[in-house]
Amino acid sequence: MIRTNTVLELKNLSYIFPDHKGITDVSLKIKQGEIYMLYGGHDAGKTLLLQMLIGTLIPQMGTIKLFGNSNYLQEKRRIGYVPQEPYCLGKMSALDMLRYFALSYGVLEKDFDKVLDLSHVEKKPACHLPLYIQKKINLGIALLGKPDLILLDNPFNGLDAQECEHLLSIISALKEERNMTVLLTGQDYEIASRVVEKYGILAGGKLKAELTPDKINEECKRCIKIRTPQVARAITVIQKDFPQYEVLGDDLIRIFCSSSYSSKINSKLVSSGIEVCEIGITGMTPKTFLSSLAGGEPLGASDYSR
Amino acid sequence: MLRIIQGELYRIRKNRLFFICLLLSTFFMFAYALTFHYDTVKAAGPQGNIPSLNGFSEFLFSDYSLLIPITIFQLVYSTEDYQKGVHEVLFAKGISRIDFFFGKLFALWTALIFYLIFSFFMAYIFIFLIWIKQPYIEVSFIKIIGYLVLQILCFVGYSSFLWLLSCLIPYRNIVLVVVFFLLGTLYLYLTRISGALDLEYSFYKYWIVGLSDEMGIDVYMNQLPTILITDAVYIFFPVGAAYWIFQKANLRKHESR
Repeated sequence: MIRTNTVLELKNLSYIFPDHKGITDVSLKIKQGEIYMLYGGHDAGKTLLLQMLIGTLIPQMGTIKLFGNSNYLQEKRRIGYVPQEPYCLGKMSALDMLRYFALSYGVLEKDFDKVLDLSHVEKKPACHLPLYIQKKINLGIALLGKPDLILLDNPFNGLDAQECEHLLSIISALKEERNMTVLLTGQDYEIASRVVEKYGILAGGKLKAELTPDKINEECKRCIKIRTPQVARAITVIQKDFPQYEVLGDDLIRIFCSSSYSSKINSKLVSSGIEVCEIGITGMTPKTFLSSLAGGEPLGASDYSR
Repeated sequence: MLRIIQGELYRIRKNRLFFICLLLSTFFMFAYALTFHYDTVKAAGPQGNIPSLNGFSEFLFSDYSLLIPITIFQLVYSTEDYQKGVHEVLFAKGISRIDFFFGKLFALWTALIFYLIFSFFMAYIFIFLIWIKQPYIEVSFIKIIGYLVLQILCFVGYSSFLWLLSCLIPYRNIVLVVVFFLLGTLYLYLTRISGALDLEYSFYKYWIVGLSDEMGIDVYMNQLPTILITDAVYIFFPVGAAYWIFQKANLRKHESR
């Protein structure tokens, strides 16, 4: 087992189907303990890329290095894979499914990982359980053998807000407590942004950009726009809490912060006796920004390359 | 590969359909025992025929009853992985195609052998219970054991053929229709067409299921080389072809939209 800080390294990876769909020339690096999201729409090539990593498809060109080993198939025991659609085996209970896979993998675990909190449903037929529980069962199977890298294909697909929240807490726990590296795919920016540390934007089978959350925020230039006749007074009130601002003209201030602070700023100004004529959010939302990238639109002047 | 066999045997043990098949075959064995008793011993009148366990052993293979439950189980079981995308999950953990292919096949053969032994056991229990008051039963254990072993080999050959079909057509409903169409055609050919045209059963003789039916308990020793060669062809050719198809198959489950 080779010890390295880079868990996954792809170089010029390509796989093209006869209908010319596929991925072309994808290169990226994922560091140990990182939560990386492959962001992109349908047919972007996210699932295809994961299938090359798990060995269902062999790349036509390019190299894959897993844990520093270019013979990546040797390191597959250190991977856990959760497919997009949860799978169940007939009417088998969750625990029976886990034990079937444990026997097939040759690992000794006979119970679900405690982080998944599945003890109350593990004896019920998995096919009769809700989608979210089925996804957790699949994650439990992926965690057999204590892998170092978890691949989650579109994990938030079909889940409600509360379930997404719970799944996020599991992903965070896996990273924090076990230093696991997580590679997930999807286009649920608002949910994933809570844990994701790096995004790879896939569009049309090409990696358009690799971005950190800071970089995305910077690119979006998201801000709260306030129109007030008392600009100087308003600045003195808000600059302590929101130091990043700019004054545009005689009555307009732009504050660079999360849009969720707009009501706080408004109440602060009003309670200080400042007249607020207009308050609103301007700039591009990260989701719109990423969607525009994933939609294949040109990157413009900024260089998002790796 | 041993790990896969262990895993698959565990999965079969937890499979309700397998137990339903065992129940169904138990019912068929009971029906066979009753039918054989009434057709041979009871129908012969007060003098009666001597009950023959050898004859009963041959009678067990006189139609497709023993074949149908295991056919349904095997086809449903072997196509389930394609349907659920289990291959991806297993391969993701470094299990090779060759290990999976042969591990699953050997587990299926083990389940088949268990099914047959269980069915034979139930059949003999039923017939012995019916014949409990018979003073004399014609029986030749060595011949019966040899005959049953050969029948099991024929079933393994048949199972290999089903395995090939499920690799070729990995869709549960379609492959079920194809196999039952084949069995139905064969049955019609035998019982109606061949009878009407007064044909020899040469085609049937070399079809593995037919071979089971054509084998006589008193003459199988004379046919042994032919039976073994046919069996070997039925086991190795479908397994080889299925392996080739499985290696080339696209086993990825398509992304949902």
